[in-house]
Amino acid sequence: MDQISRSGFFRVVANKAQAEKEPGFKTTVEAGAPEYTGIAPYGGTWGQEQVLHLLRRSLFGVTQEDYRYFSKLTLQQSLDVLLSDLSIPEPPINAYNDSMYQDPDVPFGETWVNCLVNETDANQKRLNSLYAWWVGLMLDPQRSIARKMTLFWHNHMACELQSTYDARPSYSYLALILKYALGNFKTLISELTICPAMLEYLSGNESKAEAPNENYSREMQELFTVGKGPDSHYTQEDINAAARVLTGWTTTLNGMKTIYNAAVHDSGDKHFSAFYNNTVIRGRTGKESAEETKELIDMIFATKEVAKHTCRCLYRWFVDSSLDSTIEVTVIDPLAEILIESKFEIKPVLRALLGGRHFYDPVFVGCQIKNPVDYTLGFCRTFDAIGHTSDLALQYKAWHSIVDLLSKQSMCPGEPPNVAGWPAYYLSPGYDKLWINSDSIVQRDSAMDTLLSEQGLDSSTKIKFDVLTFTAGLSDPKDPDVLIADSITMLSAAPFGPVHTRFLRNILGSGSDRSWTDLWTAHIASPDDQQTKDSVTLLLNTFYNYIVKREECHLI
Amino acid sequence: MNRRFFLKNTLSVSILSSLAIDGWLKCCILRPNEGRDVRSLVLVQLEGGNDGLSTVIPLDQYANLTKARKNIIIPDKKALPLHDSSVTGLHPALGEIQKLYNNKQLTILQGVGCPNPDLSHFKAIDIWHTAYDLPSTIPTGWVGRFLEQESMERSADSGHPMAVQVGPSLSKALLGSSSSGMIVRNTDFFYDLIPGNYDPAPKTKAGDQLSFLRRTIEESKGYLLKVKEAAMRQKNLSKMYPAGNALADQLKIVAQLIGGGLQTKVYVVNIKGFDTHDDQVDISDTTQGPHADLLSQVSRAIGAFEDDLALMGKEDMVLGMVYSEFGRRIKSNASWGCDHGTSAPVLLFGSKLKGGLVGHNPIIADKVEVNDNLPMQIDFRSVYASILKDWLGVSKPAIESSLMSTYPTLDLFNS
Repeated sequence: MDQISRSGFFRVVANKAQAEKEPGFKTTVEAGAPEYTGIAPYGGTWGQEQVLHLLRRSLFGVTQEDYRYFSKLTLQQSLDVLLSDLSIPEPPINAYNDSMYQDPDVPFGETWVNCLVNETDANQKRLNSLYAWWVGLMLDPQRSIARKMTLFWHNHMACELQSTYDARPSYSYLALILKYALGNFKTLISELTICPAMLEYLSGNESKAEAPNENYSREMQELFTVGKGPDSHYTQEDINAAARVLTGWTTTLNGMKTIYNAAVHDSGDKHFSAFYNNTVIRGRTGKESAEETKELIDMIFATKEVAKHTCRCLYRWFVDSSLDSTIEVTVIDPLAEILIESKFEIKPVLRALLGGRHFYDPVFVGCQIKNPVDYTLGFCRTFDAIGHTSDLALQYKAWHSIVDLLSKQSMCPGEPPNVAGWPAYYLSPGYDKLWINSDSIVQRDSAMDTLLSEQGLDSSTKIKFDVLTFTAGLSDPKDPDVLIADSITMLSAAPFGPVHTRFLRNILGSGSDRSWTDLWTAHIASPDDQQTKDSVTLLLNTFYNYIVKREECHLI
Repeated sequence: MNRRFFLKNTLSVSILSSLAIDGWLKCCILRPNEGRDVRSLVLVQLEGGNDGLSTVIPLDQYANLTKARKNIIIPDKKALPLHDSSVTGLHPALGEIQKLYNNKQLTILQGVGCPNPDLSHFKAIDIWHTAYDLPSTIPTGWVGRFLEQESMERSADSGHPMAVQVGPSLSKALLGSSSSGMIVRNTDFFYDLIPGNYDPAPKTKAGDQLSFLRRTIEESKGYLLKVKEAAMRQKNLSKMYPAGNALADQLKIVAQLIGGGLQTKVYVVNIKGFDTHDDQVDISDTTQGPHADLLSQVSRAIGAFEDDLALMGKEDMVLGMVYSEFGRRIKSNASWGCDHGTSAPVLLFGSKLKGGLVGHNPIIADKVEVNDNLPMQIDFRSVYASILKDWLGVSKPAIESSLMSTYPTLDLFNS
């Protein structure tokens, strides 16, 4: 019963006054409040619980290989590995030409990201290729937090890729958040502000001096930078003024490249409110006027609110959705200082957050509900349902099948509901509870059924959970009690109680029944014996199906 | 429930039963409708901020309006006329809405907004959902609060979901302090959730999440059964539903469930894309373009929905409300669009309405500045109050619990 003694899980509330009541999502118990305060480096126990907690939150699920690798490292060494940059991936390709469809501008196997769209269906094919490619990247995080940070930035500075009408600028947007996943936030915002996808998505490309468009100006301040925290007091006039600064940035007719058209730039002086220290950005004409945008970003980043807003969003993403005044003072403020001191480099903040005491408070283990990407890709990775194949068409098809699963669960990366990203990260009081409803729970269960079925996700790619390899990798799979304990540890952030454990034990044969041990031993002795292999697979599919659908497995 | 209400419900059930719709009757005999018909409210949310001035066009302000938004204005000659007004017209894409209006099945409420408007989408949506317009927010929604108060007043639980959202995530409007609505995304695919036995959840954050998950799954199992039964009892009957119209697809489900006897009081559907900062209209013809396409989708979806309800004999039991988080700015921008604004018209549809226009056209000044917005004529909570009191027959404590204050009601319904 080692599982059940996990300290934080059963720790009762320390401070009932702090326990947040969550209306509509009423708590039946007074939930525990964290005791580990502040972001001083964590120096407590560094064991399985802590390693798995860090990996679950930084990667997408945890593979046995991930765990074996990181369990040999210290926390600081782990952070060194997790915070390593990933090389820029090869761009998405045409893996969609087939007997039914040919993209006239891109040969099979080559990238479409620089090719014109001359055929009406090509764009949707390319977008599908882009979603699939991105899922492929997330399925292979290479021990780095970078891919998860890309998803964070996407949620933070959301763009609906479909809305740009052309998969090429959509690719550029994605390439930008892949490139700066662990980079400099200010540089990222500077480039994002004038990237073709964003100019199209938030109307910048059509903004002109005679009546500037407020769209990007408002969302950039409200969502991407200063936010709407209690001390954020930008005004409607600030939105007008920033919109005027940004006039001139537009795209080439085909929407592919950014150009600066000084002729439509508002050359008047722009006056900002007291929130921005009454800054005046001097209006200019000609090429030089593009410099005003740089001054605008400098002005916005000179407020403390940018760092605070960003750190609050990181906290909600990586730690917990409830953020009270104590956490504001002990975690958010010091993190914001780090972000400002590092001139908006993101790695020092992540290191402080994920290496700090607060993150390892046991109350945070399993305290969040997984988003669909963590739930689905996590188990796909853990059970190696990735579809390794050198057949490009099949590989993309496999990734696309996973994109479909994510869409059904209302989280298709690339298509957030709107510019604010997914409501689970901003809509109080529900936050991550918003992932779970009568529809999504059915979609999650149904996804697991498919991935644990004989046929797998679809008939051609046969993507399914590799239950045999996963089981073989555990410490002593022939012993049913050890198999149960090991599986739960690897698959669930929360321990299972005796009711679930007993149920699992019954699947494997109850009491002194040796049938599981005999079956597994026979399989190991003759792994090529198809009949034994089929029996083991069938039994394990049922076994893992029970585990992954339990409420505990929706927690991270 | 008062006697008048009860009699009306009974009556409409008997009318329904006399309709010999093939298959339906058989279903009905096999699985009799468990209860009475309930009046329901369908909230149609236009996400992004619908341009009220191009939806309900103030023809008597046309000269000044043209000065403020020359590049996007709908030609006055193209506006669809209303049977009882020469000064107000509808966007030419709203043909079905016009028909409903001229049939007195649609009411236009002018200038609906709040005293403290906010130009952020997310705050503005929150204001509509919570019925609270101060800078802070509150955790529950106006629908969730009245439903919860009502359920406390009732002794028995019908087992039916009190609110249903057709869409990917739950509206905050439906959130009560211990309950929320359910989500239905299709009525073709039903899945049996495994019954759960489990150990008690620990008193921790994670334990709280476990309890929430278990409660949701348990509730969903019961509700999904009721939804499935309703879906099996009733097929859509209207042939007017347009293809490729996301709102129509949602309203189809709502009609099917209402027809099938689901006793849900509030349904929520939505359609996105109304954030028309640019290219709201085609440059060469302002009656065409993305905004016209969206309004056409809304109009055709509602037209088909009302037709469907009439064929099912349920039109007297349903009230719809079409609203958006805000209207758009009076002055357009140079990108053939307009930025976030404040108050705007709300449309109500349903056969029990008196119909007509409530309120007057907004007054457009001769010179409109960039940040000028339309003043509020009707507090949106007055609309809620009227619906709660006069349509849903909600008790006084439930109305107070929903709106947290008293708002004057409007005289909207035929007695």
